[in-house]
Amino acid sequence: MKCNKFYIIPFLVILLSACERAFIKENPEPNNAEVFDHLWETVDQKYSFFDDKDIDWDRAKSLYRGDAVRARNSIELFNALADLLFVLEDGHVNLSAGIDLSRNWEWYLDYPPNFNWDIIERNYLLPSEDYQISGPLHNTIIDSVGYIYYESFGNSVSTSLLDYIILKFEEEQINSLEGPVAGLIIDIRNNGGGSISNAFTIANRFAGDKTKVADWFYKNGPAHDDFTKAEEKFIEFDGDEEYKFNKPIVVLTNRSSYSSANFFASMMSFIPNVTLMGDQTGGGGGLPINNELPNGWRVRFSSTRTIDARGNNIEFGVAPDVKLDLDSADLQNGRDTMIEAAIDLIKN
Amino acid sequence: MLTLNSMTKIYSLLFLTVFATQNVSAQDDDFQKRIFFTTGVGGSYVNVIDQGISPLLYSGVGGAAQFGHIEDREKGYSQSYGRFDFNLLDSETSGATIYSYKAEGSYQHYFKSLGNDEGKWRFYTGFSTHFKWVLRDHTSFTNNSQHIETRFSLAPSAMLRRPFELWSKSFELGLFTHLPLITYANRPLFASTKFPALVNNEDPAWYDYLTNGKVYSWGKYFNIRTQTYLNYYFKNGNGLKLDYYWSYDSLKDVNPIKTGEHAIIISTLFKL
Repeated sequence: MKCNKFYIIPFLVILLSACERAFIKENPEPNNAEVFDHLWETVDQKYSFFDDKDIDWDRAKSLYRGDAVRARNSIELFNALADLLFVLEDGHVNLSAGIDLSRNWEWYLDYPPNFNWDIIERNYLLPSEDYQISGPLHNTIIDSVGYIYYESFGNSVSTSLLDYIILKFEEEQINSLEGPVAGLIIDIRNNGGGSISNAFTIANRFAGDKTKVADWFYKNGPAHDDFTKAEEKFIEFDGDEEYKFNKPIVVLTNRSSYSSANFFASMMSFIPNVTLMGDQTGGGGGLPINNELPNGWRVRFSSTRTIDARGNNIEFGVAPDVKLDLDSADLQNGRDTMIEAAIDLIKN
Repeated sequence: MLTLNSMTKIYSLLFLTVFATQNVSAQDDDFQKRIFFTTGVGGSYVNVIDQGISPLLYSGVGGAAQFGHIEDREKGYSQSYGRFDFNLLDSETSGATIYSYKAEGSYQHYFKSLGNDEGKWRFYTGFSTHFKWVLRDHTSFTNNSQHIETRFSLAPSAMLRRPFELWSKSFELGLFTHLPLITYANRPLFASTKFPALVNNEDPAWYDYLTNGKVYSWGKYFNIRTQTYLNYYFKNGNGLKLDYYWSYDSLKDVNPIKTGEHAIIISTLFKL
């Protein structure tokens, strides 16, 4: 090759670069079967609870693939895919399209609600002169007991905010009592979860020495039992040392306490002065991840397992120490059975 | 995965490629070594399908900033650069957006193989190393929104250059290309954005983000990277540089990735 012919090469390179899209292309118009198969395969390889729930995923494919392939429009296809995902019985599993959002609601709909915000607000919060909404935390003092309601772990909580609330409960100059509170109620009923870091922030504020609370396992391969080694999770006190809270704490839960709220309840159960009261949490022990389908729809599903430090799989919920439902007569009288029982437990 | 035997063959081939080129160097007693420091800015365009995130194609434009050095010697040529790119990638199918942050660095070392210094094309061969770190942040995802990939490649590379004069001004047209034989790639866990070395590691060091990767070669990993440039030299020895970079990248493993990247960078050449 003579040197004076080399000038062709730069132009060839520029031409070649223009052809790159021939090698990087998505499926332009995926058919129903391709969308179904992609969803089935992605979940098959990355979902974390097939073995724990004894799910026959191959059978689910044979049950719903035909419906998906025969779907005549987006709604029918969406419904067939949603039916497939419903088999997983997991509140962390969603199919999201512009037209709809699929979700399994069974983790709480089959159980009593055990929560009435109207009663809490009208009869416990608003009548109290100590009622404040500090960031995402509704807090007050009810019958000499501190009360915090946290609606969503999606709303950020800081250690300094918790320090302030504890200070408020402990220092008579900034509350209506003549002394410190007798204990604390942390109410996470109807808290559907959010960021796990907020769960750690609150649990660490009430923890003592470093305590192991759980093992996390990440999916690291396509087989149903491909998981990493355990990642140990700990809680340890983090906050103002002068205002450590060593008095009785009751955490109120119901079946709608899900995901990060579920994990929070599990972590708090390892703190000696904490009692879980109410109904079992709804579960949700896997960290959900997102993925996309070839037609642009979005799917979300669990991709980790959490086993607490006692060996329980918290995907199925955390059992309370004191099982309690709201009493219908109490509700008629504007009383929250769980708050009343928690106050009794703390003061006696 | 590579076996030790195939690794040895590839290293041998690389060794021979690099050193077999050294004995054809041209001589020119009048040659003056030149060293430049370069700084530049420009725009880039990215196409990517990262199956760890989505089967969909995400494309988009962005900006880039670059710095580097060039050393032009009698018997060879070397250059390095570091570049940061930010791109806003969209999918026409899902309508979702990914923020792409990329940092890359390259060092190339060449030995003159063909040509002379009298205005003709000159051909060089050598080797290059290339490092790339990319963070893709899918704005609609939650726990797995941020996917990171890291690559380190070793490649035989080639260079063509032709100085010329136009309107009594000094210019130079050139081309670099490299084709990696060995690449070390580090990706997050199969169904997570967590890196393998960070599992049960409460206090990770920076290098933990780079460990537990895999070594790839052709068959599993293919990359071609080119740089076409036009330099204009001032009379004081400084100059301006216009570069067009193109890279095609394909990693075939669990969660495969295909990427095409284009960048046009305008740089200043400061003679040192």
